[in-house]
Amino acid sequence: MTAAQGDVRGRGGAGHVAREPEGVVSWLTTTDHKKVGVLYMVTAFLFFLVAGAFSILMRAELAAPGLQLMDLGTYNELFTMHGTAMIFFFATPMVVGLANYFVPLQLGAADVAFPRLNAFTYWLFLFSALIVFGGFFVAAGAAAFGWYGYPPLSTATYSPGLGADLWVMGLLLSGVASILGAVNLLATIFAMRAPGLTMFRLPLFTWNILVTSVLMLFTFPVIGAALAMLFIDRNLGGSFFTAEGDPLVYQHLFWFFGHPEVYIIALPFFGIVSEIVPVFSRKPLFGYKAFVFATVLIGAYSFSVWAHHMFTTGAIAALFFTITSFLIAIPTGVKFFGWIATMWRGRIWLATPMLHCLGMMGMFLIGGITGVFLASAPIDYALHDTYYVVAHMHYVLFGTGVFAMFAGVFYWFPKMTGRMLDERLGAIQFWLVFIGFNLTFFPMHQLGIDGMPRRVGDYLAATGWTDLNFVSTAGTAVIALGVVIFLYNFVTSLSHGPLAGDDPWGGHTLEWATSSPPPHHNFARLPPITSDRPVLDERLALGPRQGGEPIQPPASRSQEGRRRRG
Amino acid sequence: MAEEVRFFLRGLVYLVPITVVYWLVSKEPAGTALLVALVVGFVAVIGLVLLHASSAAAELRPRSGGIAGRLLGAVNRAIGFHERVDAPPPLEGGPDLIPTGSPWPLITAASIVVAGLGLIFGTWLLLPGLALLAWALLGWLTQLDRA
Repeated sequence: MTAAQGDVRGRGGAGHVAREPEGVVSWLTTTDHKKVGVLYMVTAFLFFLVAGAFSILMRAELAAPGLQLMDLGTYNELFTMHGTAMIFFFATPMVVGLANYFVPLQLGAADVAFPRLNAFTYWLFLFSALIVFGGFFVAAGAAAFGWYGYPPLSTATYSPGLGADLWVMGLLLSGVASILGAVNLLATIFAMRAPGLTMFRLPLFTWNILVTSVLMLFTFPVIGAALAMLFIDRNLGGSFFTAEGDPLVYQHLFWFFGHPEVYIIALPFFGIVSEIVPVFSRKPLFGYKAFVFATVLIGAYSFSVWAHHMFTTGAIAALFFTITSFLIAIPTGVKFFGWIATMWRGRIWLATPMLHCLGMMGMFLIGGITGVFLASAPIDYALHDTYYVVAHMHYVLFGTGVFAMFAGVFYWFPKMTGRMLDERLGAIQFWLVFIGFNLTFFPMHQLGIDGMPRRVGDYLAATGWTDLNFVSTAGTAVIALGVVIFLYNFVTSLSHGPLAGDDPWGGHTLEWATSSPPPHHNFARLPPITSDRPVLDERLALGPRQGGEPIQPPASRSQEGRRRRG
Repeated sequence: MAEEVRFFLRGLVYLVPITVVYWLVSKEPAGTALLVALVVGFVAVIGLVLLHASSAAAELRPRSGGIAGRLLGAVNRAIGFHERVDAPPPLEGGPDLIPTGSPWPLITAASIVVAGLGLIFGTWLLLPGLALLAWALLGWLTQLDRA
């Protein structure tokens, strides 16, 4: 492996630490996986805020019949950019950011396999996103055909504006960044593990990132090809998806990427939950290998379910996709049982990371069950393109992506900054987001069953949809309040949060074996690795008198009661 | 260690039959082509790993014994769930080296974006974008050469 002048040797801190530039320049030129990870996470969260603001505007528009705030064209731009930003510029890069920061730490490595490539992928992702958002500043406005970009609506005939071209080019380049990022993560996991860290000792977050990287490696080229063909159709006289070609092929290509993308987003967050639940249950994870194989199975199955999004085209093998889609419930169920079995008779510590994990489990369960309904072709025919689908996808994606993201942030914030987030504010934020989320999205199930189509900016009072829409809009405001409290907590804790120490939660995996925040080269020393929880092993071996005992969670009322009774 | 290879072999255990079944039940070419490409991709990754990891190849190779025993042993080694804890990782990443900061990743990304926008706005932007990209790649690669 070749490296540049001034390189230092990591893992154990041997060698000298090169002088790094400071200030803004250090962030612009950094190749440190931790800084790149932070850049990814902060940028992704900013896009989450922007896309969230779009959803508030959309919900405000739908709070009552009639047009209140915007015309229908603007509404179309908002729902297109909301979906695009949430999927491509929030959820996916947030996953990459978390992986960037924590996979090398969990592997006991000093950095990722290709640090400069890593920095390159971040900048390419950022510029791609800015290109897509640049559509708001051109005459015809941003793309307005939904985040799927289905032709013929997305062809030059029906969407002639420059904003559509920017959308296609931005997503194409963003896909390139994702592919390169996946290669980097795969190489890191395969080649840079600490001695003793075999594949079946990898932390589950890293296992989930491994499967996610494989999904990214094999699906982003497909969407890239689809977008390239769409670009040729729009600008170079091609006819892949026009009347002379076949628009349905685009749907195949899009969903061959699009459904695994759901798991690209969900699996890493499952991994976060699988890291947190054992730590906050004070028990080892139940069924480590079962979790690993469930993850691999979900990844494999996700390649064979794409056309359940296309039932109503009438041009696919519906029974095949119904059966394969049902299959995914099995490994997902294995994960749920594993989490429950881990918590069973554990000493559960309901700190904010655990609260968010429980929230994620509940919400994803609802999203998973409605997903089973939608995987059944006859039900899908009735509910396709209604608000029921909007409810389902938000229970899946918001349920995992946002709740588990907050779980991960509360869990790893002490490692990244050396300080704790405020637990009381965290709990308030959790309940606000949890209640607001259910107020927003649960009524959408009924709206969908009542026949309200998605992607409409207006409806008639006579439809009877007003009350449920109003509740949904009110829920969005509650979510926004929760997010504002999180931002306040985050900003104030960066400078005023209590000092965390190296391992405030009593973690199990290698990132808790180094200082908080970790040094440039990550580790001064590594504990012996003989299982998937080396830090816990070492703590148990050291015992309480040598600083080996984890911080004890405050006893819950039920535990106190049990003690008194016992 | 061969677990990295097994990871993709297990994927093929599902993907190969599902590709065949999909073609038989649907006769639909687009999806079948995508599944075939996926299988080829998995095989290519397995080939790449084996190319760089002779230890993994040796571990997966059939061993002596009866035909049934050799067959079962081969299947077990290919997709079984037992991992040798003392085997070295198949891909040697070399010593962990931490590169210093570099402006070239940012400049390269910016140049690609300028060139990409050139495809939309015209050659007046495409050509500077490509020139900038050439300069950025030169800078990136010569920085590596100085090591």
